[in-house]
Amino acid sequence: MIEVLIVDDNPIVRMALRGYLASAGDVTVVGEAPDGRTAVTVARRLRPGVTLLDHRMPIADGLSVVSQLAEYSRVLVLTSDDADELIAGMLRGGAHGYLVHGEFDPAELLRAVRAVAAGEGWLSARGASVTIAMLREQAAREQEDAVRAEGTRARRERFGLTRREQDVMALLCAGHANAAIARQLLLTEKTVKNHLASIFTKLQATNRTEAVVRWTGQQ
Amino acid sequence: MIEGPADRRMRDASERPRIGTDPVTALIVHPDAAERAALGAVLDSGERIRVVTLTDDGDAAVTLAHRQRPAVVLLDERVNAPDNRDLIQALARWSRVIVLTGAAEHSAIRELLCAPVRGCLVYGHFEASDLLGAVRAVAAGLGWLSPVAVAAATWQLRSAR
Repeated sequence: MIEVLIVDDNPIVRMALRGYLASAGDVTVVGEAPDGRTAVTVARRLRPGVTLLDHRMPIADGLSVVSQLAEYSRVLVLTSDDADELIAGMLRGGAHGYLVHGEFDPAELLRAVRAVAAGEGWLSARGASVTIAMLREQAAREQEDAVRAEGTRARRERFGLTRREQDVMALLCAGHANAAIARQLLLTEKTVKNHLASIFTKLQATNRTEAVVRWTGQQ
Repeated sequence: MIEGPADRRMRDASERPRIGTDPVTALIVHPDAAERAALGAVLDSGERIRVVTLTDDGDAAVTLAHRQRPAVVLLDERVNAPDNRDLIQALARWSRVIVLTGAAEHSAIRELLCAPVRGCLVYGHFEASDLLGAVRAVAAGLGWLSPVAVAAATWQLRSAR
């Protein structure tokens, strides 16, 4: 039996949802909440399999509580809003489904509830299109980061710093003084100074700031 | 001129794109003859959907998509296309692509969704009505994901923070 919590400030909508779900033999409504804050309290106590979550509600809206709710229940968003940012926020916040009022019938709601309860998910057509776009952007970002990291690695390699000098450089970039660098790397301050002298030569830097700028590639 | 509600309605109706007059055209690219025909029959049973071509050849599909500009291409991911190494990319230049896959693992689906597809249907997880819904949604510029694909996608979105 799939236990469902209905979260919506509109009692008529809650009634309609109760009615839709009552027709299914495998679903039971275990609780209702009129706002986000109450929803979190109820969900923590009841641990429903699926929470149907509206967005626009008094006291606490859906988006502000979705990640808390997701700790106690799988969340299926059910709202009239389908702004891209809201869909994105809800899914990043842990929702497993998103349906828009007026675009689904009772049969689709039931399939969505069952899919979400079973560890899958359910998205409206707009939700699916927003999700695919977000994934592609994310992949492009990861690709860019990888290219940038490779560029940095290749650029640094040309300086020919030793392993140890690179360790010193990393701490220097983090803003540490010689004494702190020496402590962290278990060296004497004199050794750190020697490393720095060698680093400055290799980076063609006359002081710490210049060295950091060369190493990090900032202009 | 004062614009009454009736005028507004009429103007809105005239500005609306003429959905419902032209059928949604679809190209089906699938390696198996029987399954290809079955998918075609399902689509042809849908109102205002017309299957323009069926093929098992990915390279031929690119040529056909270019020439016929179907609204939607239904592509089984196993299809071969020696001349088009990035088949989805090649098809997506001319049409909106829905990919059909047997893979249910998160990583495989994630990879598919990074290609320029508008929808992903996972075998064993969709009904005829979903197929029709997917074609209509994608033709209208929206998207469609089978429940397993939704799980893979939302998992991916959550994991990259």
